[in-house]
Amino acid sequence: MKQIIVGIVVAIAAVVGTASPARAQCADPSETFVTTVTRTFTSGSAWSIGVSHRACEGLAIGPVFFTPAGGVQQEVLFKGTIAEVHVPYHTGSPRFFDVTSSTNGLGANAVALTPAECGGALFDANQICVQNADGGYGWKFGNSFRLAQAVEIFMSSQLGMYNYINKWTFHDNGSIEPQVGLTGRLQEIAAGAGYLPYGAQLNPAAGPPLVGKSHMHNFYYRLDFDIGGAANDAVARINFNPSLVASPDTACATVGQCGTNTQTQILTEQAQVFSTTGQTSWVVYDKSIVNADGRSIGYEIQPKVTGLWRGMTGGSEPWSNAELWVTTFNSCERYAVENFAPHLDASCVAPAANVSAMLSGASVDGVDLVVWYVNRFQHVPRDENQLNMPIEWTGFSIEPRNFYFQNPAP
Amino acid sequence: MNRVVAVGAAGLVVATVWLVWEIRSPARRAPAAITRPGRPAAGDPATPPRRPALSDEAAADARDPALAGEPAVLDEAALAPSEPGRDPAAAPRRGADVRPPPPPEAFAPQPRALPRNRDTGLVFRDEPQGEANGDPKQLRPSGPRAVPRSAPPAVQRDVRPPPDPSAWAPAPPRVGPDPDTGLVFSHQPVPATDASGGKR
Repeated sequence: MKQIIVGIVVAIAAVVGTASPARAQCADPSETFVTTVTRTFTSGSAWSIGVSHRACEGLAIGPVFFTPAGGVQQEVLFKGTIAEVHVPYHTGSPRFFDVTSSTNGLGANAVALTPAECGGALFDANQICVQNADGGYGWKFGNSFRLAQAVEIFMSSQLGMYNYINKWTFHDNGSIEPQVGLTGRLQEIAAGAGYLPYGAQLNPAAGPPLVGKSHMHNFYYRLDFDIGGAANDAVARINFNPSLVASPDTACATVGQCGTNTQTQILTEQAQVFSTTGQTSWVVYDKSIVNADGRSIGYEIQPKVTGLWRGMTGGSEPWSNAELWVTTFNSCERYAVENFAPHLDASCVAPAANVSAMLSGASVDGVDLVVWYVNRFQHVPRDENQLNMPIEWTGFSIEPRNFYFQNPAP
Repeated sequence: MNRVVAVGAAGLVVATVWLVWEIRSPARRAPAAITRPGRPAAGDPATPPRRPALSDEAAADARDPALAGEPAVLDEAALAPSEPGRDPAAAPRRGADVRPPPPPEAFAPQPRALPRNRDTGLVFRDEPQGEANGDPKQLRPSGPRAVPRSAPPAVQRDVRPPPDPSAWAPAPPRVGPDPDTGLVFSHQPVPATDASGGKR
C-alpha cells in the first residue's frame, strides 16, 4: 500500500514535471531610468553613476563618470550590462540562457529587498539597492594609510531555484568591480549512478546516488566604454611574455628568469582569448585625451580567471570560443547570445544573432567601441550547498590605467 | 458523499494503472533529472534538516533491488522529476532549457529570527589551541636556543633597501573638512558627453 501511495505521488509529480516549466522568455527590451547617484569621497575623488532597470538584463549601469581627487570629471562607461548568462550543465543539458529565453529576464525576476538587506537607499520598487561600502585599506605606507570607500549598486534576481546578486562596486580609487553572487538552491539534482561523473552525490553515501549536477555559469558583460566620450576610443591587449633576451639587469639566460610586458593594439573587430601564461588583460583608452604625464587615459579589464571553458564552438555555440570580443557600437547589438526580438527592439532589422556573428572586421581604431567580456565560473556542488547555497562571488575588475597621473584617492 | 468516494476511488485506480504503465515503460528506467521545489523545512525554520535526504521509508524502498533503476522517491514529495523519461544522452531540447519558476516558498515571509542572538563576538585565549592536550605539532621552546647557522650570502641586489624615512613619520593631519558627501541621488539622468548623448 505504501508503495502505491508513493507511486501515486511520483506519478502526480511526473505530471507536474511534464507540464512545467512553462515557456518563458524576456519579451520586454525597454529600459527605465531609476536614479543618478553621486558620491564625493573623503579622498576627494568622486563617482557619478546612472542606474536604470531593464526587464532582460536587470541592472543597466551608466553613464558613469569618475573624478580623481584634484582632477577633472571624465566619462568612463556609457552603459554596462550583463548581456547573457549561459548555464550549461556538464551532462549536456539543460543549457540555460537566463537573460533571454530560459527566464523572462534578470529584471523581470528582481526581488523586492528589505531595509535589512540594504544599508543605503532602495529604488525601483525596492529592487535596486545603492549603499556605501567603506572599509579596508585604500593604501598604507609605513605609518600612513587611507581607509577605502566605495559605492555598491545591486539587484537580486530569483531565477528558478537560483538567485543571482548582480552587484557593481565603484571604489574611491577609480576601479569598478562587477560581481555576481550565486546563491539560492541547486537547480538540478538527478538520481542514478550514471550521473556521478557529472556532479557530486549529495545524499548519504550508502544510498542510491542523488547527484547535484555540475555546471558552468558564463556571465557575458556588455561594456560600452566611452573613455572621455564616445569618440576616439581604442583597445589593446596587455600580455606577459617570458623572455631569454638580455635585460638591462641580467643576461636572462635561464628560462623563467625574465619576462617582458607588451601592449598590442587591437585594430579590427575580433575575439580575444585569455592566456594563462600571458596573464592577459585588456585596456580601453582614448586616443586623443592624455593625462598630465602625456599618457592616454584608459581603463583596464583585469580578469580573475579560475579556468577556461569552451562550449559547442563547432556547433550551436560559436560565441563560447573566447573571453573577450571587441565590436563597434551598434544599438542593435545588445545581447551576447540570442540577440534578436523579442528580447531586442523590433525596429532592429536583421541584427547579428550573437557576439561572434557581430565580428565584421570593421576598424576599432579610434571609434566608439564596445567590449564584451565573459566571466566564467564552474560550480561543482558540495554538501554545504544544501539547503540554501552559501553565496559565492565571481567577478573581475575594471581599473583605471593612466586615467590620472597619480593615485586618484591620495 | 458516496459520489465523492466513488470519484476518489476511480481517480486512485486511474493513477495506479498509469503508474504501472509508467514503471513498465523503458523510458522511465532512465535516470530522471529531478529538481527541488523547495518545500519549507519541517520544524524550526532556523534549523533546516541536515540535507534533503530520502525519507526513511523511501530510502528503504530505494535499497530494494526490485526498485533499482527506478526514479528515486525523495523525501516524500520534496523532490519531483522535472523531465521524467528524458534520455540524458538525447540532444538538448529547448523545453529543457527553460528554468522552472521558483517554488512559492521562495517568496514566503522571512522566518522570524531566533529569539537569542548566538553571536559570541570575538573571544580570545592566551594559549594556542591543542596546548592543553600536549599537541605534538605545537612548536614550543625546548632546551637552549639553537644558534642559527649563518645564512648564505645574499646577492646584494636581492635585498630590499629600507623604506624612505617618511614611511615612519607621523601621518600628517588631513587638511580641511571631510569632503565625503555620502550618497546623493538625482532623478535626472546625467547626459553623457559628446556623441554618447545620442546613444540609446
